[in-house]
Amino acid sequence: MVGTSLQQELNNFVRSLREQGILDHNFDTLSRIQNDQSPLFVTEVINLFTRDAENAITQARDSLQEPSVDYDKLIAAVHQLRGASSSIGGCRVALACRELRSAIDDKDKERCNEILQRIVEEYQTLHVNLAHILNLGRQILALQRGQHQA
Amino acid sequence: MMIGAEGASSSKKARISENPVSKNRPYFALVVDDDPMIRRIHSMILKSVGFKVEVAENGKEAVDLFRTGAKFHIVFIDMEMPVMDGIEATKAMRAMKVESKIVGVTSRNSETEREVFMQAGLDLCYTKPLTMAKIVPLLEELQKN
Repeated sequence: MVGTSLQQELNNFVRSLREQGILDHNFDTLSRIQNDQSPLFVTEVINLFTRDAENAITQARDSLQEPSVDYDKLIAAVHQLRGASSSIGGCRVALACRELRSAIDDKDKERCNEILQRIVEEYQTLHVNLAHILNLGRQILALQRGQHQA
Repeated sequence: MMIGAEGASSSKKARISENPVSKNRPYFALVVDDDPMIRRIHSMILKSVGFKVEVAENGKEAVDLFRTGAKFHIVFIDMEMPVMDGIEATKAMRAMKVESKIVGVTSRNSETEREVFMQAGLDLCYTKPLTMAKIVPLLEELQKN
């Protein structure tokens, strides 16, 4: 059945992201706790994460571009991004955030900029893959609704 | 007898879990975090193991809930929040003689920062994210007591 193969495709895709280290077990938890009462839970979380992450990255970038770096603002942005990415299973982004925190503690602006660039790249990779997960999820949900109505 | 936040506004009423841990003894949790994503995730995880969950967006909202007479078995509270942060909120709750277990949940991993949070009156401090592995032992402890 198409629904089963789509679900299998989604499962295989998430598994491959786990194997590549792009997602960790925390994403599996989110999928597991999604239920009939909250069928769009994972979708909601991914959308909230995207908003959080892009705000935090913008804030971090702005802080580093100031003539006198606002390290407090940068720390707040990094911790928000780290918390959000680790909660969704975006372990590479979370790890890069940890490294950025270390560079901030050293007040090393150049290293901060390098690591922020890496965070942006890791986030973009994560974002593209989460978008694919959302797309597959939408297709599965549409199919399920179509089957219920039939 | 521990009750939920029945005095809270309708927009913050706890959603009743359909799978209570025990029909005779529901457990009530308060999730305090300014990030809607974290509130959503932590609420769902807690509900999945049977907690009835209320949320607050900052420390002041959490303290106000207790002031209105709400009681929770356990509070999960973020460190950094606007209006009133987790440290100040925890101090305020303990000053009010709140006996709930208060668990800090933070992205900060500096020992100094976590120690300051613990000193405010936490029972425990976890690094985000909240996971089943962290919650289940807490639930088992509540059930034992």
